Amino acid sequence: MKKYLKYFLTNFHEEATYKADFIFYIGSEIVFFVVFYFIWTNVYSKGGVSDISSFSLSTTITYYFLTSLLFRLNPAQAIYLNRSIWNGELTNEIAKPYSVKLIYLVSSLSIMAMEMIAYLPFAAIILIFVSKYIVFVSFGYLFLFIISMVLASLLGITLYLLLHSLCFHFGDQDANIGLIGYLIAFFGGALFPLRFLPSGLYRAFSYLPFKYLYDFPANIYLGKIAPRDIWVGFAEMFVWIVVFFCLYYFSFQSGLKKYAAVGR
Amino acid sequence: MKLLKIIKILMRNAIIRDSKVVGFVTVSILQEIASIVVNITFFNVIFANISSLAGWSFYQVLFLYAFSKTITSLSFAFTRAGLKDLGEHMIKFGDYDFHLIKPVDTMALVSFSRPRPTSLIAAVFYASLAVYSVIKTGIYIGGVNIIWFLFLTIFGFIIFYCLEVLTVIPAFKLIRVWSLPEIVPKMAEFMRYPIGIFTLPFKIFLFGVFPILAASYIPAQVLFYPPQTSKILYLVAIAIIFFIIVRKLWKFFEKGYSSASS
Repeated sequence: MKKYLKYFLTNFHEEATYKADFIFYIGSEIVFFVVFYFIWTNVYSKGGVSDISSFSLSTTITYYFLTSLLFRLNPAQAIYLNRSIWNGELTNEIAKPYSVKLIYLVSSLSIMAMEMIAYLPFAAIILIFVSKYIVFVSFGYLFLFIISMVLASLLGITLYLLLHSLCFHFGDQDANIGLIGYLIAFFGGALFPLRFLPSGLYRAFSYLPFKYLYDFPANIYLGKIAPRDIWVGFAEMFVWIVVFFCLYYFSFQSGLKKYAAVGR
Repeated sequence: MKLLKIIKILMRNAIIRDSKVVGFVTVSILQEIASIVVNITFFNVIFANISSLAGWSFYQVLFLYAFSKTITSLSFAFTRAGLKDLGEHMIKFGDYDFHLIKPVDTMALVSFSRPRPTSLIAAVFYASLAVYSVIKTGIYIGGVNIIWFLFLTIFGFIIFYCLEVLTVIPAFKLIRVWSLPEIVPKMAEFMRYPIGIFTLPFKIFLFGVFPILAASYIPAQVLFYPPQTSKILYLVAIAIIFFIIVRKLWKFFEKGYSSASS
C-alpha cells in the first residue's frame, strides 16, 4: 500500500512541475461552462421559459456547475495505458516491483486529484459570478453527492482502463477512445441534463451505465432523486465498477501474453 | 511560390500516410459524424423550448455551428498540428532549427508543416451541413450576400489563424506550453452561437480583444441579412491588423530562440 501511495504522490508532484501550464489548461476549461451559462440564461430569461422537465434556470446552471466539477474526474486525459502498450513503455513498468494493472489506476487518480485541486479556485470564481443561480438543497445531499463523485471517478477509470487495455488485442486505440469518450460524455449527461431529452431517448439512456458519470451525481445534489433510488444507484455503480474492473483485468492478463514490447 | 510547392509536397505525403491507416481515418470521420448528431440533438433540446435564440432560428444556429466547424476543420487540415507542435516540441527540443535553415518564411512553414487531410473530409461534411441549413432556413439569399459571405470567410479564417499563432508564440519564451495550443479550439465554442446571447463585456472581448466570434458571426450575418459596410470594414481591418501584429511578434520572439538540445 505504501509504495502505491508513494507512486500516487510522485505522479502528483510530476503533474505539478509545470504549474502555470497545468493551471492554464484547467482554467481554459471554464469556457464550456460560460457558453452553456449564456445559452440557458437566454433560453429561460429571454425565451420566457420557467421550467424544462422540472429544471428551473437555477437548477440548470447548478447542474452545469456540478458537471464542470465532475469533468475534472473524467479520466479521458489521465490514462496513458494505450500509449504505453503501443510504444513499448509498458516494459519499464512491468520490470518494477508493483502490480502494473493497478499502477495505471493509481496514476490516473493522482492526475484527477491534481485537476480537481487546480480547478477549485476557478470553481470559486464561477461561484462568485453566478452565486444567485447556485442551488443548495441540504448537507445530506451534498454528502451523498461527494460519495457519488468518488464512485463516478472509479467507474470512469475502470471503464477507460478497459478501453485502453484493448490495445493489447487490437492495436492503437487512441482514435477509438476519443470517439467513445465523446459519446460517453453525451450519453452521461455532460452536455445537458438527460431529462431534457424526449421521453423515449431518456428511457433508453437510463439503461446505460454512463448516466452515473454526470447526470446521476448532479441530480443527487439537486435533490431530484429519492433517497432509496440513490442507494440503489450506488449499488448499481458498484456493480458496474466491479464488472468493468474484472473485464479490464482479464483483458490485461490475456493481452500481456500477446505483448511484444514493440518500439523498445 | 516556393511555399506553395512545399505545402503541395507535404500534403501529398500526408495523404499517402493517411491512406495507410484507413482505420484511423474511418474513426476520425465517425467522430465528426457523432459530433454533428450530438449537436443537432442539443439544438433540438434548446429549440423544443424556444422558437429563436437571440433572434436566430434553429437552422440559422445550425448554420453558424456548421460554418464555425468548417473554419476549425480547415485549420485542423492545414495549420493546427504544425502550430501545436511548435508549442509542445519544436522549441523545447530544438527542432525549430530545421525550419530556420529552409529558404522560406518560418511562420508559414511551421504552420503548414503537418497537414491533416482527414480534417479536409470533415470540412466538406460541415460545409455540406452549412449549405443544407441555409436551404432549410427558407430565407432568400441574394448573389451579393453570397459574394460578401465568401469574401469575409477568407478574412474570418485569417483571424482564426492569427489567434492560433498568437497563442503559441509564448512557446519561444516558456519551457512547456502544452495548454496554449488548446486555447483557440476551446474558445471556438463561442463561434457557434449568435452574439446576442452574450453580455456586453463578453461581446467586446470576443469581437475586439480576442475576435474569435467576429470570425464566424460577421460572415454568417452578411449571408442572412443585408450587408453592413461598417461590419465588413471592421472584419477586414481587424484581420489585417491582427496579421501584422502576429507577424511582428513572431519575428520579435524568434530572435530570442536559442536552439536548445538539437
